[in-house]
Amino acid sequence: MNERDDDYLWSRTGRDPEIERLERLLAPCAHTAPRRRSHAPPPATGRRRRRWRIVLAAAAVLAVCAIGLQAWYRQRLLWPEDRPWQIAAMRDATVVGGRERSDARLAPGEELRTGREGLVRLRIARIGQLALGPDSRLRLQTTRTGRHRVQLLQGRLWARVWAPPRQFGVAMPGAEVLDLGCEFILDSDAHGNGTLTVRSGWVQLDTGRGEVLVPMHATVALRANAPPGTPRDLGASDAFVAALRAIDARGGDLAPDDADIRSLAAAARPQDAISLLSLLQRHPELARGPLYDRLRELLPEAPAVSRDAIRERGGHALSPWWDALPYPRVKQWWLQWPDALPTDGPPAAVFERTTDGR
Amino acid sequence: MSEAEPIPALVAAARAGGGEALAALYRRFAPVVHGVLLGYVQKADADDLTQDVFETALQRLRELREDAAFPGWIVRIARRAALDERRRRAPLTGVQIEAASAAASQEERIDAQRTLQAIRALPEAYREPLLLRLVEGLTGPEIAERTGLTPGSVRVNLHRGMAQLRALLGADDGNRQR
Repeated sequence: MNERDDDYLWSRTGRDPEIERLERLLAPCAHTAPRRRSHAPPPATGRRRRRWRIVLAAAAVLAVCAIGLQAWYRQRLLWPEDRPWQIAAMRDATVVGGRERSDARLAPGEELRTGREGLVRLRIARIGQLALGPDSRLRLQTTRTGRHRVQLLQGRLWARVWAPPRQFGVAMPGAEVLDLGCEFILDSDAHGNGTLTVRSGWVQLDTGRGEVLVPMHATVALRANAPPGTPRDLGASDAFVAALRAIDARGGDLAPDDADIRSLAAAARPQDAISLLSLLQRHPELARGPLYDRLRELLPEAPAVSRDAIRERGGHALSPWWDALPYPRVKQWWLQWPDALPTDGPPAAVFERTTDGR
Repeated sequence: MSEAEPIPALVAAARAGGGEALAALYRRFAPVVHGVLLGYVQKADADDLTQDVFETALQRLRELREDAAFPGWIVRIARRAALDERRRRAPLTGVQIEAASAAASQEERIDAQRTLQAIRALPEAYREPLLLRLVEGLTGPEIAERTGLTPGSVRVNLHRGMAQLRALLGADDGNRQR
């Protein structure tokens, strides 16, 4: 046989029973969504046939784009249970508690420790990236399709995830930090006191008794022996921050027209609506005071939420105001698709862009 | 962007962050990457590594100087990923059983295993086109377009690779019958 006799091998024209048998035998090994193999000769090229083919091809293109994205998305979320995470970069750091291995991976139950100059960057299965800063300790607890959990024992953690909500989480003493499709930084001392700052998307803090939602450009205090603080915008004024700290320190023991509440309302900008709404969510009784009036001023376009509705239904009545906040919807996490892209630059750079340090 | 767009146009759009272009590139090149990986690792690992290769490619897309060079570039990334994976893993003992359809008989499963092993034993120039043709179902022209090789080279390598594969499988049949 010369090259001219191998038309079927080259372009699948004609027949070749031996090669067809090999194709059938090896088809299960193909990439997911294997191509259909047809032994039909190429179609004739009459004009009428060509027009229909153009129409069908246009429809097929749309379907193929969807299938391509869907296949990529589906593959991205799959992860065998307990498969170790790949460590992409490591400096002045060790893996503790695991068996010696030649590759750089972190398995469930193992702990990453960084020194004073330490830095580690690793992949969260296939759904994102995580970096651990200096003087930090992190343990991988669970990893499988749909659920990936780490424990930040101390230090600084950066994470960037593009996946459906709650697939990735960080265990802290006072709350579980759950990714809702986002990028965030966590700082914690050895007792669990620290801060969470969200750079994109949303993060949910699950305290076991309730939840706190933290949007992009906001930060919140984490406390080992108390519920998390109230989220606030990173650009809040000194007066607002001071009033909010005083309110959080009192843990809800507030009259609706308390002096700190009045100060908070007076200093609130439109971007501070997240703080006022979070307070009302946790303490609906505060709707009797200036907090409610200020929130209505900050969200003029939102459907009205009455004081009576809040008194009767508590935080459940506040949904229209949550929907009116100027952030991407939690359920539309896929709009944060840039979080699927790896971050440029050296590992340390992920910690450099941010926060007001307060 | 449509699936039929030229590869350089898709690459340029993907570089600019176009989700559809990314999806189109994935759809077009996933079988190529997977086929190349199969030359080194089992299907289960090839399935996983295909995703890893695309993530690496996405990360390094800005390093690609010519959009038209994308096919050969991503094939090289796939080969490196496969070699890294082989170095990372401890050697397995015994026969590695590949995927088989639920309807396959035991004999067909063994035949598939033998055939893949024989293909993997071929030189790279023959191994990859044969995997792309016989496993992934790409035609010769598609293999040329998606690997950056000339159609002439692909045709020659397919032909010679098939001849060597026949010889290997035939010799193996002879040994088994003794």
